[in-house]
Amino acid sequence: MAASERPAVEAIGVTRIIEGAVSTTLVQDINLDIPKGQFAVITGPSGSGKSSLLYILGLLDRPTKGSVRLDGRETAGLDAEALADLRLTQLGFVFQFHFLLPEFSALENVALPLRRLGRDSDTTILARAQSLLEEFGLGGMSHKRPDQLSGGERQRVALARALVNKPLVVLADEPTGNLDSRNSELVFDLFSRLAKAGQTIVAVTHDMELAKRADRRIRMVDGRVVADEH
Amino acid sequence: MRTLGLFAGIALTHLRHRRRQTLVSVLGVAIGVGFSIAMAALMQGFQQFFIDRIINAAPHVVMYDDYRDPPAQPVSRVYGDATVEISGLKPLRERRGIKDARAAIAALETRPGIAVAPVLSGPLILSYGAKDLSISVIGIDPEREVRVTTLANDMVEGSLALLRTNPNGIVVGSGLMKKLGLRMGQQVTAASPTGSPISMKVVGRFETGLAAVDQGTAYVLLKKAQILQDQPDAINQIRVRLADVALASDTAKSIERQFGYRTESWEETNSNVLSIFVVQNSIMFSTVGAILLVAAFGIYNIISTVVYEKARDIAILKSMGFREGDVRLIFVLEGALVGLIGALAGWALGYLLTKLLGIIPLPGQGGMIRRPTSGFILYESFTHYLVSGGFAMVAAVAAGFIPARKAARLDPVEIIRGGV
Repeated sequence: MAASERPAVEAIGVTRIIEGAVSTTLVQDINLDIPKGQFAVITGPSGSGKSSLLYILGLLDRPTKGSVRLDGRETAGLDAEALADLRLTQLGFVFQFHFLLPEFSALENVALPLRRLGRDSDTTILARAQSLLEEFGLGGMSHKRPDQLSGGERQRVALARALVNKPLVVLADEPTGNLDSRNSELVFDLFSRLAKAGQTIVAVTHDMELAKRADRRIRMVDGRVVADEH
Repeated sequence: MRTLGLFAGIALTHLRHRRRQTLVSVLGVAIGVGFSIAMAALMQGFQQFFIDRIINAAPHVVMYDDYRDPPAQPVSRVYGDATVEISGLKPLRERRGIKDARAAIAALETRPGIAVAPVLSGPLILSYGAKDLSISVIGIDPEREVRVTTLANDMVEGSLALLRTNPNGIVVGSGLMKKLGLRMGQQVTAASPTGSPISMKVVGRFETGLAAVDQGTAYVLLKKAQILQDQPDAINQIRVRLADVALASDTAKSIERQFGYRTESWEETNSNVLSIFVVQNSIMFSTVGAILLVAAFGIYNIISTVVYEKARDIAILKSMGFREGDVRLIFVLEGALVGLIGALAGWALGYLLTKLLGIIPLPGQGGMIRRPTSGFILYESFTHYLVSGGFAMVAAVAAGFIPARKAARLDPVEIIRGGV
């Protein structure tokens, strides 16, 4: 299969069970592939396993059964360090709560993954971070700390940070869950724009109106995929 | 290297945002390091001065005219442990002193790096006016004596040359002279328990700095001591000075093996004082160790707090692709930074404390040892700075490592699921 034809991310028979006094099945037997450049949303009621699936696809959690392939590469046998390296180079996360480092400015937050990568000079890194902030309409906010930004601005900074390393896939967990409708629109506009530019995006959301703007809607109930609309 | 700068930057930011806690931890380390440096300078200063005085003033090795283990008596040799009653026994009146002393001196002088001087020492009553003082008199050959002790340098009045030219001359310690109210050139009566009283002329005064020596010792010519002690031609000590003082213990053992007489190195002679130094050092290191241990607990506390407060940030960093080792390093660096800043501040504090101790005037010059300065005797060494700083760094890194390991093991999914 040619590189361009390989799905960006694939879940093959993925099951995640949390063992304990009472075992809990978070997701069960999920088979899914997200092609490159697709904007897919995972919807479903609370506790349906949307976020659990997202964390597994984002290599933050390991499936109990099955495996995840990233750009055709099997990740099941990889150790924690290799998975961390893949998260750094291939994946970008956006969470419901912005999760920015509070002591760092917007610019420093965006620059963090590039600095961890350590490939470019600091000037290049800051220029790239600044250009992303400008692209998201935050050019004048780069030196403000998260507590000096509005909720929508923080989420856009978080998105800029997720994109700074030019990841294969951006994974967003309820990115608008904490935003008003105007800012939610703004974030989904950004997702649509990025997807049109070829960026693969997988987002979890409750908001069905916003979900309609995605290329694909995967509905989950009780840890299983019950609908998959393109 | 770039990533290390990033980790250090994150660590520094965490500490900067907990200024008060960081300051307390830094102060703890600084006080530990500072006091360690000052106490080490103080202790080692006194000990070094004391040892230097002993090494310089006294011979490095002394061979005495007795045996380490008393020779077995003929009855014991014949009957072993049996109970034997012997009546009318008179102890053999043996001639005292080292047998064949001149041959022994000649043999010792063939060894390289050795200077040898014969001595006859014994008790003496020195009378001047209405005062009688019991002292130790040492009969010396001035030419040889100057090669094994610093007596010539310790002379503050008169000289050993005058002793050589005055058969009835006597050189006394400063303290002794003061006690008797003597002056240079005055006559004093000297009498030993076995000899006749002789009138002697004070031809010199010495001062070693060791009060016990300066107040209780006098030097006369060897011949005169033999007359005073009624021991013609006797020598009861052979004093040895070595080019390398570190060989004193080995040389003493070798001399004792060769001649059979009890031979002591300066370390053995002063073993009681040196053992006190060991106790002193143990107390010092325990105290400083305790201060640094408390400081290490402070560091552990601040980093544990940061780990607890920063659990969410740790999850973010890990989701971003930071490895477990990266997270661990960030928090270990926090400990190391507190240790480093504390150690540097401690160096400055230690330097100031040492200088302060050096200028504080101390009362009481009449103690066991006469000090060359009015303040504390101090031994300043860069090693003290390195050792205390190194210990602080190790303690700080160890204190940081435990919470850092916990931070590295945090599961990001659990924290992210927990929300804010």
